[in-house]
Amino acid sequence: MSVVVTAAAPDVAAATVPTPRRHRRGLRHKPLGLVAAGYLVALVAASLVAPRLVSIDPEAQDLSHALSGPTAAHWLGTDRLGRDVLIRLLVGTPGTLVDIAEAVAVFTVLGVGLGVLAGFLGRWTDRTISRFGDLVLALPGIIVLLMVLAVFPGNDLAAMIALGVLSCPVLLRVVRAVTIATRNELFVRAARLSGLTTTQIIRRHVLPWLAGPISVQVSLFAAAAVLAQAGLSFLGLARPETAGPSWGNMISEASDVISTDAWLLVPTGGIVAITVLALGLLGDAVRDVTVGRSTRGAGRWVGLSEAPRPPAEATQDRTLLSVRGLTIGFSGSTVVRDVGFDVHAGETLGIVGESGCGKTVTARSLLGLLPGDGGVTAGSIRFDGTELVGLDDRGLARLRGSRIAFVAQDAMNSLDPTFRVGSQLVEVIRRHQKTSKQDGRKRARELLELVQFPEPDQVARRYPHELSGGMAQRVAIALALAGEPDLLIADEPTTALDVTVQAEILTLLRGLRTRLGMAIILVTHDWGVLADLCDRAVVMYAGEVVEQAGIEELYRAPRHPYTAGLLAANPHRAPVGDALPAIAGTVPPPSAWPAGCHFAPRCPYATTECRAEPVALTVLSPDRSTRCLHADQLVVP
Amino acid sequence: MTVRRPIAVSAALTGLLVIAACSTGGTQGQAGGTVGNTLTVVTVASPQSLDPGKAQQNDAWFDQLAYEPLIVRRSDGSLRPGLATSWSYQGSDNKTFVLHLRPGVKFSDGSALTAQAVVDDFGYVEKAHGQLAPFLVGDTFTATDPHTVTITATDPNPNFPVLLTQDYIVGGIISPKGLASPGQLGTHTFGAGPYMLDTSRTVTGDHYTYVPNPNYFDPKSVHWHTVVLKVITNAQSVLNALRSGQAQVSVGDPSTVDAAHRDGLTVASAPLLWNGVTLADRGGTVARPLADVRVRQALNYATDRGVISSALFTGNGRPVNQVTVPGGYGYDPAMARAYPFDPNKARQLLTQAGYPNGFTMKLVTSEFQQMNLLAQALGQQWKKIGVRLQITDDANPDQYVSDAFSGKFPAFSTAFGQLPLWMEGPALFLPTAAYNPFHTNDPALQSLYARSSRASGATKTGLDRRIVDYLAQQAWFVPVVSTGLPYYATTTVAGVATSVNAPLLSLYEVRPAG
Amino acid sequence: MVKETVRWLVSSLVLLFVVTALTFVLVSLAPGDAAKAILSGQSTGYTNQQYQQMRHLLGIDQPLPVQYWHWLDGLLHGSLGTDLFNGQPVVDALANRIVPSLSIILGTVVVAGLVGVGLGIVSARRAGVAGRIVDVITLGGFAVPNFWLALVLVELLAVKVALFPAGGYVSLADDPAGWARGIVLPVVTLSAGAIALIAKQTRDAMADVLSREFVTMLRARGLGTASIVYRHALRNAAIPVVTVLGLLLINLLGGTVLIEAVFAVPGLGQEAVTASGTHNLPVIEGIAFYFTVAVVVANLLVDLSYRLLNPKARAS
Repeated sequence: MSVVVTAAAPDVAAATVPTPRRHRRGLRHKPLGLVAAGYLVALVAASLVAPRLVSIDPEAQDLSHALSGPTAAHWLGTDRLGRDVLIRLLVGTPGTLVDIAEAVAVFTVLGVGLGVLAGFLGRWTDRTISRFGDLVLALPGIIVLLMVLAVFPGNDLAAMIALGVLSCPVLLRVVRAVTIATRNELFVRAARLSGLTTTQIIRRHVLPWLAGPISVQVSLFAAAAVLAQAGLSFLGLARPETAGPSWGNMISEASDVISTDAWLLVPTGGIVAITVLALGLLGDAVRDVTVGRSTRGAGRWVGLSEAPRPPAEATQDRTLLSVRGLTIGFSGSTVVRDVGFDVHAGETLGIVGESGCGKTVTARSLLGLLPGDGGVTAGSIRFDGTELVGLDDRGLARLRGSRIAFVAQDAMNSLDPTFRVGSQLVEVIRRHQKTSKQDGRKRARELLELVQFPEPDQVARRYPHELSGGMAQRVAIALALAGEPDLLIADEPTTALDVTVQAEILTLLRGLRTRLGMAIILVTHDWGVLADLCDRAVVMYAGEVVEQAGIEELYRAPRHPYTAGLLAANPHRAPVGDALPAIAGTVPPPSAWPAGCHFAPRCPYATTECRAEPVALTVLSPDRSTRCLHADQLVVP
Repeated sequence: MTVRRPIAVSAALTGLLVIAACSTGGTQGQAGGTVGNTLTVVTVASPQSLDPGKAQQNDAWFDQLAYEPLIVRRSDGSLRPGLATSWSYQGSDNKTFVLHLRPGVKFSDGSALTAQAVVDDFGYVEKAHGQLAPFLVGDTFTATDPHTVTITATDPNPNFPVLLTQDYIVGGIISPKGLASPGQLGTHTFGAGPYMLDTSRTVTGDHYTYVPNPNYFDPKSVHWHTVVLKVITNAQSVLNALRSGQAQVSVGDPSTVDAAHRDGLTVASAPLLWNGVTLADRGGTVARPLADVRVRQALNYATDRGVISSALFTGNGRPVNQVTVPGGYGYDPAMARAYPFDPNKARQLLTQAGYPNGFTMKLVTSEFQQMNLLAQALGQQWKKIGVRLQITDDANPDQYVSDAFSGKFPAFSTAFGQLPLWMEGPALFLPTAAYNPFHTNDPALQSLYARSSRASGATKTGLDRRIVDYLAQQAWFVPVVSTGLPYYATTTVAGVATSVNAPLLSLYEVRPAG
Repeated sequence: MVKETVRWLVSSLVLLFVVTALTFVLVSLAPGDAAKAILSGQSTGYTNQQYQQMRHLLGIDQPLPVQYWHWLDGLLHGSLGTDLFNGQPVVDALANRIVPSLSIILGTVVVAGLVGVGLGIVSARRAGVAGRIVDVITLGGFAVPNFWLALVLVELLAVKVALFPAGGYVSLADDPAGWARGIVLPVVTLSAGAIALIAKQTRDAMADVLSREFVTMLRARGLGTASIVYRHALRNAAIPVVTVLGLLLINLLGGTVLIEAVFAVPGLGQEAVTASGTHNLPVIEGIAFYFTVAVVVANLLVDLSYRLLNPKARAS
């Protein structure tokens, strides 16, 4: 009976993962889960059908052939009274499954009911229910079960109900967490505003989101219940044989005769083990599918090693970074296509475009930091004479931080929450410069001063959660500068910040550029930031570079309708008081990219020609190019 | 390999276990050869209490090591002097019993054995409400001189010599110091036996360590420097303890006998229990058909004892049709061929009784001694003559006992340890017996019983047989199979033997081999 | 801090109260009682008068709340009552049984913690065959009923090859080597399932942490794999893993029952089964009390390590 409650514990595993996300990929992409589900269905079907098809009476005794072991007449052997084990296992299955179902029902009803109530109503309801959950979880389950079975001897139903109650806090916790997360989602708030009742909100909006986490917990609990029943049977507490066969009493019998006939443990223990395995696998698969986190491959680092070698291409000497024909794919679908640009030493290049245009993916690919199974599928990234596409992770690690550094948009989440600022800085410093700890600390102090902390020592002692957003971003920048890089890639470094803090960070970056002479790639969707900091800009739309130009020319005379549209929607440029003329429509996802010009569906200039086939980049001048057939029609506004 | 709940009930189920009564004589034990280091003995249930006044018969080993009995029973069934050097009945009605005590005996705590100490001990046991107290209740105990004790019984008791051996615990005498502090009796020993409990090396409920008693009157028969009684509830684990050499002697289990033989262990097993069904409702209170003796006989004819004993009790069971075991108390060889397996005869009897199509009957059973399996097998066999059993299988032995003795079930599975008929009567067949929940009263039977309890010698043997025969003719029971209680031992020890007259293993004789 | 300690104390006391009271009620609901258990040994039956006398003798004829009150009163004076059958103080009776159970439980937590975390990391990081093998092993450990595994292990490693004793328990003070040999098989048996649990949790937590932004940023800053996985990711993943270790500890309290039966270990679990079979209320109460104390301590340990690992929890 470790089993009794121990086995219920795996449920807890997922209790810390309350992120609701819906069906990313179907169960059919999980072969093991499919096999498991198939087995369970087959088991139920066989147990219902076989006893009707086969004429063997599960109670028919043949004392002269007791404990025969597997024979042609009895495929899984016979028991002590010479009864057929296979047919008894099958006949016993529905009853056993009903027991499990009872436990699962109690577990689910209590867990979901209380969890939703606690999560949705909050306040004292939540406190009461959570306390109750903690209390039940702390009960010595085995004693309670023994007592329950003493009150109801041989009554599996009572034991299963008790087991369901004892384990329900596990589900309760998960459901509560998910409910709280869901409750805060916009649509529920909206639903509330539109006058739906609480019950309606729970039924229509909260419960569907719970389906995933619940099915995970339930399948794992079902597995635990099967084991628990086997354990109770081993202790001789199962439903007696005279009430008909069950897996439990068959295991009990098998363990009684183990020294005479160990075989009996194989079919009886086997069906339990396989069923538990199937339920476990099913739970895993359902979890992967519904929680949307592929455990296999999650967080795995796909470097650029699998990408094809690009054609060697000569680049100019003063060019620090040269990107050509860069194409990036995720799970077989292309998200960035044929991107090319150069960055010269000391220069600041902006990459601009709406969200979903591939700016961040492009920026991250430069350091081989694509998430999941993303990777460069074609093209070249040449940094200071070294080709990065095809370089292994170790080779890239040598460049990261020391030659090319990265600052992410979400500064708070880019810091390890469990280490102090100082310790994180020192580690990075000592990674790049072989210095003593003491010198590392001194350097950390300098860096913190460099990013304008008036009291660097105090900041060094803080944990990330003790920093404000702006402070966190400055710490992130300090971390990026620790390796004295030649190129700093800043991915929307100010987007998440207040306006005043934005200005501070921009000022800081500008100052740093001047003082340290770094090249910077600044990813942004903010034209103000672009104008403020950048020398040149690359405009991206739906995975492609649509225009490239010096910053002033770009502002003055955009040569792509998308650039023009963005500029028109730029609050910095619009006359005060007028509504912004936003571009109609949204950026299409990669799966919906048009065959011709990606921007055509939203473009006022679009013609049949534009839609016919992919549009090539037109080089207008050495420093200027556009991906538009109608660039000539664009007039300077 | 069910974990057996080590509780009092198993004793009730077996009834009391017993030994033949031989007369007095002989001298105390043969002198042992070598003295062994540590003997580890495994048993399946921990004693509820070490107090001889409260202990169950199943706990006998825990007390016999420390409490020397008045009379010692040896493995061949003979009785030898213990604390008493001689004993005898006075008069002819088995009512007065005189014991002469061994002089100069000291308890392990240094106090001396006197007739008054024995009388006080009996007085304590009588009041302690223990399992065995009923056999002393109502008797008078007198110290007729410093070394003579006289027991005067109100009703005849032909079994005093057996009752006062180590097998029934009450023969083990507690020292005056022990009686003075009854609170200590449950966890300490105060005896005059070969060993005494070493509480510092004892974990109650798990293992009990005994060391030699320096005051023991016969140091030559102390064969071990240490004896450890270890409790292991799981039958397979018990066997494993011997196979892996952790223990030398153990109680066995029907489910592991074959394996023990295969592993080359010494297996001692003498017939001890009869296993079958009590047809309790002989008045037809809840199951009318049982009121007819022909119906009860039909059930006996419809039982294929041979098949059941060879299939369900492989190597450990023999068919039996009497409420005893072959060669045991009251066993009648002449009756051995009664009730052959004869379904036609059974159907005939049922028809004569007015039940040509049979009937349905409730029966309660429990897993003890595979009673529930036996019941299921009987269910199939009796179905063939139209008698359908509705079996209730109580997982909790307490529940089984209360159901079986409640008078709600007309029949119940029974596994009963053979007893001298005088002891068996109040338990099994007299109107007040627990196994007679409908209080069936049969004057003929009562008269036989009364005569037997006054008799002795061959007369008594004859009367005992007539009781057993009478119960068989009246078909109050359906005995099916007799089984033994197996004991296992490794080859490093000798003296592990039992016999039909002494089916319980006595630890006194276990000694190092060679 | 003071407020928190007070809150912890109060909730612990409430828990103790609820568990022991509930146990009292459950035990009294069960059919039969200790007096019956003692008297039913008499095959000659017993009268109702004898039964009432025995109940009075045992003190179980009083109303339940009164009995419970006496028990609580005793508790305040450091007593857990006495065994109904042999009169031994429950504190003494259980004292010997705590260490064997704890040896196995803590041994399992340590083994399952180390091996489970190790396997979990491998599984989270390695694609292909290695990861899959780890997954199968861990799932297998979860699926095999542990008493079944115990029987097989004893047969193979204690009987066929006498590497370890088939059962029993040797006191650590008497013979440290024997103690260690003795707990190997029970610990291995219990660990099989526990490793699966911990490995699964570690894998999920590691996978989760490794996909977090800060890990990508650590790589962007040029840190090596070793530092990222073992210094940063593991520390973050440790928080849910520790929570599960705490739950494992609690669950093992009950989980040892089967294992103690198979390996003949004189632990609390065995005593729980024995005592509940005989309605030995003081002993059952004592065990429930110790279990609850263990639960409270385990929760406290989890809480403390949570604080150690998670600076946010420390602050609030």
